[in-house]
Amino acid sequence: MKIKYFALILILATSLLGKNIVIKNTELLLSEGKTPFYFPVYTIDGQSILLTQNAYTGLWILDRSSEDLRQITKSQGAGFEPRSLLDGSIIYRQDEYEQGRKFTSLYKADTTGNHLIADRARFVSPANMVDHRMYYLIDETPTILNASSGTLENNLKNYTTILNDKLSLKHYKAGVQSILAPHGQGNYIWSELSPTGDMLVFTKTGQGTYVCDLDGKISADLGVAHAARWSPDGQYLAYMKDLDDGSQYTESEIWIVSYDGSQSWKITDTPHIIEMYPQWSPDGQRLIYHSLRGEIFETSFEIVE
Amino acid sequence: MKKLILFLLLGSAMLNAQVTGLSGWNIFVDPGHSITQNMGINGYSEAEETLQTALHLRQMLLSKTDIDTVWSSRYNDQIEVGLTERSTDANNRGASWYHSIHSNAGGATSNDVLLLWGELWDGTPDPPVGGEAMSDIMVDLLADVMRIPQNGWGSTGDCSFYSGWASTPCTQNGFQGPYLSVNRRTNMPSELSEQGHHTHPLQNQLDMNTDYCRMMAYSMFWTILDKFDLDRPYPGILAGIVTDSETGVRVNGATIEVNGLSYTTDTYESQFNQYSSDPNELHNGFYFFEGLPDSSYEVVVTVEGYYTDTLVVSEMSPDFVTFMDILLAPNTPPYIVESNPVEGDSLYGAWRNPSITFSRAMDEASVEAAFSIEPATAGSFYFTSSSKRMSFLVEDSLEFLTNYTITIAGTATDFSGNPIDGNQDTVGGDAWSLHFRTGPEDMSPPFVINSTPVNGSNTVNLRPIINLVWNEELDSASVTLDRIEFDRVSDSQAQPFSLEHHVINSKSVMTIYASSDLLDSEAYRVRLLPGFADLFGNTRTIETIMNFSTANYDFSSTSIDNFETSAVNYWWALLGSGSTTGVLPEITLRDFTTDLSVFTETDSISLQINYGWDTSADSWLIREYLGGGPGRNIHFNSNNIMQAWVFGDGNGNTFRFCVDDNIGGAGAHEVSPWYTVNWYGWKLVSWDMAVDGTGTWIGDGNLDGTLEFDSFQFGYTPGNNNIGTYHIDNLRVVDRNYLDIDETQLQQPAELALLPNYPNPFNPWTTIPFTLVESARATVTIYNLRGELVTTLISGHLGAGYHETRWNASDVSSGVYLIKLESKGVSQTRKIMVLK
Repeated sequence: MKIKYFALILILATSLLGKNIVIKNTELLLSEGKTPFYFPVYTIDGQSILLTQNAYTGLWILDRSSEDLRQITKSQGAGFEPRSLLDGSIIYRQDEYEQGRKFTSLYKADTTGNHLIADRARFVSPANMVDHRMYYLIDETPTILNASSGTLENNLKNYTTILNDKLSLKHYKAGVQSILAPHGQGNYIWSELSPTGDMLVFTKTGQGTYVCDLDGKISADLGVAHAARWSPDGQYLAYMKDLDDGSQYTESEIWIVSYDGSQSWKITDTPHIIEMYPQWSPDGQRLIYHSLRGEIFETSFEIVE
Repeated sequence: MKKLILFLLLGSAMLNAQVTGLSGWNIFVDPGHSITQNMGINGYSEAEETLQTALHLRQMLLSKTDIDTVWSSRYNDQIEVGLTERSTDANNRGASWYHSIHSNAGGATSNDVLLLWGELWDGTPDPPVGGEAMSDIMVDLLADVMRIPQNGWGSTGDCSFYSGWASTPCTQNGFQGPYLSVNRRTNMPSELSEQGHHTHPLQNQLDMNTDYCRMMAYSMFWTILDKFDLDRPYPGILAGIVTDSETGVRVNGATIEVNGLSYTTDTYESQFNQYSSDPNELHNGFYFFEGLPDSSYEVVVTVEGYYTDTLVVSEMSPDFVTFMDILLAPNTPPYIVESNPVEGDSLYGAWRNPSITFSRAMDEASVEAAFSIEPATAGSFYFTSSSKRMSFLVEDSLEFLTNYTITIAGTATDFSGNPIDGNQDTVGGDAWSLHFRTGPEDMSPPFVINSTPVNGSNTVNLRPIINLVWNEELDSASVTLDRIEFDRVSDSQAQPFSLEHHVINSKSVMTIYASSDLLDSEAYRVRLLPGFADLFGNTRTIETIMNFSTANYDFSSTSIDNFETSAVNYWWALLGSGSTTGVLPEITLRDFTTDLSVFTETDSISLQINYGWDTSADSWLIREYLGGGPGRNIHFNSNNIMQAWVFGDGNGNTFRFCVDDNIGGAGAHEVSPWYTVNWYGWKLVSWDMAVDGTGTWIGDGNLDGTLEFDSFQFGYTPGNNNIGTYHIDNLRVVDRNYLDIDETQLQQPAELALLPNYPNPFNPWTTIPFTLVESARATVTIYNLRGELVTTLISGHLGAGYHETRWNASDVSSGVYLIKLESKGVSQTRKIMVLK
């Protein structure tokens, strides 16, 4: 299954506080000759990759060592923001429509089967994960899913997620809810708390991507940095710089940027491939992403002094 | 724009819901392109139009229904929202539906509605399904609201639509569909609408009006209600377009008053100055009322320079737009813009129908009553162009060479009752008159209806006789050598020829005799210059060109009879043969004539057959038997070709050869297939016995052993002219001698033949003829001398026989190129030259 796509040893010329990124290898894990897959995500142990197909339909898991590809569910929406827990189980969504209305349930898939953990909510936000806790907004209720136990908790302290009707971020702290609009009124997407829980990256559509503290004070303007994801150590963000003509994508490359926006590194430079939606490996030394054509790539690198 | 947005945002919170049933549902509305993406004409962008439509739709849903919420991917036209941002935004919010609003682009004349739903490569809808059903409803409503047609695809899957012409169809590059990102990357039912073409000038100017965008949004609003089986609330919408009845231009600044409300159509000052510096360039004439109570209305329209018009709306649509377009009459009287014939026309075709075009729509009854023609002529009236153009349909025809006068009395009025201004002094009520004279019976110059050999022929023998048949008899004085050019295409070398002019069945036949042998495998051209005239004096003013190519073979011949000497001694009278039947004996005669013969420079006599068929008979045959003489001693076999020049009369009756076989043994009469004599003038008729086979008569159909000539035979096809004349000359048997071909080529089965292109050299067009022996896949390609493919002209399955294709070399530089014809593993190439 692994196809060595190209091996490139590249020491990027710029450095961050004396650090360089050395790209070691890029592999084509799933080629376009197979059924196209999209939106790859590492499991929490980094040993497997979660995958989906068009319109986030169905969820598969690819075991890196055995190269076994197994379908977890055929559910509609299962590929949208799946998460894995420490015990190896997978949290995924299932979207259903009844008289046009959308209902979303959360399921936990483990070795014993697929188990319902949140039934037919009208809204489930993308998850934010800090300290092995997954924070959801389910309907109007802020909810924590314990990554260790796989249970929903109500002991809420501090989380940030997106609301569906106010066109802004909502900040919850010690049970107190407040509107967070660091860049004024507009549409906010791709928000993610830093692993340290004290910084937020978000994109305001049509404006750009920013890093701010939890009071909304912007510390970095990253420009066009779509689908930005924090590195496990919170020092970097991986993102895609995708361009389109309003109808079709024209190009997209994967980049890494320091959290303060001072330095950035171009990880891919392939005009003929439109790479999208990077995700970090748990060890912070690999990025996985898909191409527009449904290929899955993995780039490994090393951050050196 | 900012005011509009503020109103729409505030309005959404101010009004109470009229429709319940959408509670718990929501939608993400995406006004597709941003800022200047897909810029329309006149500097008005698609992004402005789609944003207004989206915001109107959002406001309607929020104010008129109990819908949970409506999101939009943008709320202004100052930001550019990317594709991934749009789909992620909708996905993050858990939207139940996604609708992307666009307008299309194309030429200045195309304008239609299209709906595209997410479709996988195999034609199935992209899950979650729903976009197809929504699209099917919306495509009808949107087209009805805009009053433009649906695209030929109507509502269709995006893969099916784009796989026909896009560079990246769904079945390539692993896409597997849907094609559109907004369908592929959203996790809810979705579709994309194309609301007309922003490159269509009139549509573009309508799109500039925000109320027009609101009307389009209504179609989407109603679509959603229909999809959920909810009743549409009464909209009270009255809308339409105000147009100048005279110029057809939409009227700026017209004020429409209804029920105490007024609406003024867009003006340069109010709207169009944003998109043009010319105050007179842009117009839309659009007006729009909303929320009118269900009643009948008097509509008053006023604008400077026009008569005030008052119209009545008797009934409002309960669930749709009530359209009322308004034609405004300029406050000057109507007049006549043009007529056909024009004043003083002295050669007007008597078979034509006079027409009159008015400056604006007229009251048809008043015009008909005011019409008169002298001399009196029966006819009827036919109005077109929205009552602006009237034709008088003459019942029979006008008289030839006659003076006529048509009068429109001053009582004719326009649709508003304003009397016509016949003398255009700006005062109505005076008559208009037209004087003209009809021409003679024939007013058209003559033209060539067919030729032998036909245009484009490629195996013409090296000493051709070219017959050009005209549609009528020519004035003999105009048939002169200096009006004909006969030359070789490759070097424009003029070819010597002689010319005869015959009249057969009231048609002229010009016969061109090549005075010497032509080169083999070469293209030749006959050019008829202007000046040929018919008997009515109608003279051609254009050229006619006929091209042909000579064969790559010649004939070695043995004459059976050239009809120059002693022939009369051996050819029987037509009635002398017992086989002759079904004829009129007083007409059916043969003669040897000096009136007509092939190659008159060396030849003077031909055999003349005058036939008269008895149409009441049951069977028909004339046998012209060669009873003896030297011709009967000419022996040959079935590998030979029998030929004779036959001067046809075009009547469509038949001719064939007859031979005796097995000379010296028990032979019989065998015949060739029938040849239908549908040609005029001389034609070399060839019976290639090995290829063409035999017809049916007395013999067994086999050409056994030694052969000798027996007779010419003639047949009759009921329904054709039963009286006519043939001439026959130079009866012979021949062998075909191939020229300029190497032995290997001769030994190859003749699967195909790439014939000389013409013209050559050329710029930019050349015609490339070729033949296939049997139906097969074939390719015709052009290469340069470096062996690089320049273009593929043909690649497909073709039938047996003659074909030709054309190449436009306008995109290549001067030089030598190669044509390559390939079929069934055999290929031929030929050098050609582009000369610019």
